[in-house]
Amino acid sequence: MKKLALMLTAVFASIAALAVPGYVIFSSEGPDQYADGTTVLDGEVYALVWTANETFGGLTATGEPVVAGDKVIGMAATAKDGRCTPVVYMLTGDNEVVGGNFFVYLLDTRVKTVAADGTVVTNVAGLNGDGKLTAVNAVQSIAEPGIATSTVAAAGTVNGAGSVATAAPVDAPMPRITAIEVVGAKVVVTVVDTLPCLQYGITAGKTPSVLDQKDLIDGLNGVAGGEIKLVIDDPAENRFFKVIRK
Amino acid sequence: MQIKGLLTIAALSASAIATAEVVSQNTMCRIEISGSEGQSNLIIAVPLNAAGGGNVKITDLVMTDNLEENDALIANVGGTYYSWVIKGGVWTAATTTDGDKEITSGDDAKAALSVGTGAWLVRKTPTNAAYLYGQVPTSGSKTTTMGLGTAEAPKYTLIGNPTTAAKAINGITWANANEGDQIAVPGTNGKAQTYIRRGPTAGGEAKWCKYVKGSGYVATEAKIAPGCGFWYISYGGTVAPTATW
Repeated sequence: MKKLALMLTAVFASIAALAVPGYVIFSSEGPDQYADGTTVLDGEVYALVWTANETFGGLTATGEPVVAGDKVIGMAATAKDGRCTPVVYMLTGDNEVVGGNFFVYLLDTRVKTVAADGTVVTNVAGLNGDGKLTAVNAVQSIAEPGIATSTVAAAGTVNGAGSVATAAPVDAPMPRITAIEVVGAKVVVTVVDTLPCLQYGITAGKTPSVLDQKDLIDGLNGVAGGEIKLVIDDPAENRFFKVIRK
Repeated sequence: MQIKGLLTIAALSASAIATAEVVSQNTMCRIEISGSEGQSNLIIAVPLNAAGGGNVKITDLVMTDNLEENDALIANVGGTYYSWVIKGGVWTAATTTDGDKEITSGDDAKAALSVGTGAWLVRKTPTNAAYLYGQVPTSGSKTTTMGLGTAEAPKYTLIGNPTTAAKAINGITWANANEGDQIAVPGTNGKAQTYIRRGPTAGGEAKWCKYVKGSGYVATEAKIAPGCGFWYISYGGTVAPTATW
């Protein structure tokens, strides 16, 4: 179990019956980890979200709330040296909320592309210039029991939920394999109808209906209006395969 | 300052996030051609479509893995033979001679074969298995129609297993298969194994049978492997026989 500590302080300037202007500060002691167990890369994004419900409905692969009414209070690319440096979110204007529940997440915005020399390059997409996200592969809860709370706010029971894949956009197209070729011991699969916000991999199996080998490759992000080439080792006895979202 | 609002941090339940499945529309498949290891002249089947759908070019279907320079593919399209050979590691259109007429195979359309078609793979040194690659057809059963011949003029039809699985010969649904018709399946020693359509010696409805010395005609339990083709030889009847896989 990763060792995380979240320092959270919430200060409110008015009683809860009204809108709650104030701010939230949080940071983590780290090391924070992605779902694959690797330490978070510098520049990675943390998000504070809010919901009037007991649980937050999740984020899409482009960082939008899945459930209407849920809010993304703020996102900040503050990962540094494996932890979240202190972040302050103002709870004013559109972010004024009453009651409900806040959640803090580490986002996995790593984007995998192929460089000119054919190697796969992993970069943290972080936030665009407009403060929006390009791709979110998964969200990782960084809250754990034992969170320190301020004297003005109480933390509820917190469970480490681990990583959860973000929701694909509702209108995400189903990818389509347009070509396949064998180069030495590798199989090159050309795929179209992909999205930059999603990573694609290959799943294989012994029959068309049982494709249970889901981690044949690390995956690549899609390309809007273009094609990507996924390269796998010869699938051997797992001779049926499809392209899936990683 | 009195604060009544509670700021609660709770973790996300895994079930709270809806994740739509994103999966490709098509499924690809690799088939090891049964018997390809050790046989120089092999009848192969077309069991797959092109990536993206539609008839597959035989030069895309048969991988050049484990093949050598000058290994060849031969297909009969509309009664005409076309051929391709490996040059520089890739399939290259070749010229077929029919009497004094030369037939070129340069047109890609001539290389596109429908599922269920048979073709030949000719190899110089077949020391390793050969493979087919393509897209799994989405349609369900596949019916193959054979030519109708007579005892005096038998009709040979080259067909192939149109599926990605081995199929028992007597498990295939045959219609209008005339008693006396034969199928010739490539064997393991370069010789074809022939089965005849007739009632087994022990009695019962017509099956594909093999003659066994001392037992007479016995219904075969043999299977057509995926990727394999064979001959259907019609010796009579009034309606063209079909096989539904």
